[in-house]
Amino acid sequence: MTELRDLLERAAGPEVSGGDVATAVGADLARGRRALRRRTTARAVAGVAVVGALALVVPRVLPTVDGGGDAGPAGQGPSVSVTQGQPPERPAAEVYAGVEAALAERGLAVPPHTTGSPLRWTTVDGGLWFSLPPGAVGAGGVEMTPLLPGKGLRGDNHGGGSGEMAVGPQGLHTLGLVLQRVSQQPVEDAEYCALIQPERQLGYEVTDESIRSDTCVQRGVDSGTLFVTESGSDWNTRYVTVGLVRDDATAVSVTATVEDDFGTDVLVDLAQDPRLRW
Amino acid sequence: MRRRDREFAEFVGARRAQLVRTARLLTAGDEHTAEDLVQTALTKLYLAWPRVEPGGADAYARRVLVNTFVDLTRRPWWRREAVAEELPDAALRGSVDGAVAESDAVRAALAALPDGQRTAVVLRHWLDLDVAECSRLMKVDPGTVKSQTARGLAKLRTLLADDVEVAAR
Repeated sequence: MTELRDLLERAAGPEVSGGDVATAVGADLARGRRALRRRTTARAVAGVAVVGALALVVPRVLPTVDGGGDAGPAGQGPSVSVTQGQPPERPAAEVYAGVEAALAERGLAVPPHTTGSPLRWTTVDGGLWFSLPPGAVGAGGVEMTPLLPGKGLRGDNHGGGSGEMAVGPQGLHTLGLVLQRVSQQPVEDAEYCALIQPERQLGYEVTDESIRSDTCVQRGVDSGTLFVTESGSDWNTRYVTVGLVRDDATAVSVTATVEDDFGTDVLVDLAQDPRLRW
Repeated sequence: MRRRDREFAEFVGARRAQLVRTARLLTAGDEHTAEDLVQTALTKLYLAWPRVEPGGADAYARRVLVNTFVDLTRRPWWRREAVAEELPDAALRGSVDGAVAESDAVRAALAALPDGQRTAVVLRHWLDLDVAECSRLMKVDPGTVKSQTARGLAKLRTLLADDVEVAAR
């Protein structure tokens, strides 16, 4: 009687020779590098593409808060301003329709989308900071997942902490957003800053020193609104659209990230699409 | 060469062949699909390399491989394309004599098993994984793993009855 293990051993076939292994290793390494480059590029472009979207959406979706843009004294609450954006020249629905059409032209079916909560953004060295208006946490499609036990954004740790942020069902997870509470205020009254760091994996913990709220404002040279839509997903692909618009409603940049089951990020830069300019 | 690349290359050089052999069993001898599975798994492994614990690359790669296969089997197109009476790749079959014929028979029998049963048999009896680990990889209940394994073994015995007697440990 033959052991099943022996049968499987033989059925598994021969091992490849040394030369073939070396060739295969080189090919595997090259594929890995390409995949890494694609992912890095996708994330970087998504971060850079963060040059202009949602001022269009913010004024319509969220109550406007005018913080005046001044940095608050340390420990005295959020200092990232949320200012009145320019009214959009085109309605958001029209822009989304343009996104869908542009994706469809590229052979990407787009199921009905859901709109994530828009975020205010400002540029800072090496990334973009985002602020969430009070009350946005856990509402309007924005939710935060505690990263470390006891250091969750919604916990009692008012001294800071970092966490993952998701906009929509999965949205920003693909961008590797790291979120940091910058306020000493109770959580429900706080604002938050987030820094997009495309090169970093989720789970990177930003130190308090590196994420001062006053830096967000003082060093910011540009600002606007971000929109992220989780366009939906089918059985092996999900669609995330990220866009930025400046407060003056210019320089729209929209990026669609499509991730299939193989972990491949397919980036579609729609920034030049005339339908998406407003 | 960067450290990541060097470590990855060392790992792949040492473990790729075994991954390919596992993939062959999972795909019942479909050499092309097996190679695709391994390439996909290794690409995912490369992307995740900084997060892989030291010494855990083998288990991680195996998990990705099986996950990828399980996902693949759940796709409609896979089911359409996988239905085949004959082994899809002749390269492994060789001439019909002795051990080769026996291996052919085993692969044919594996191909005749439903995906779930074949996966359970390969995970339990080739990779020597316990029921709990199989359950996680196959994304089914432990009871399902046991029943799939039992049915798979029973069917293998029936299918191979004329060629070889099978004893599972």
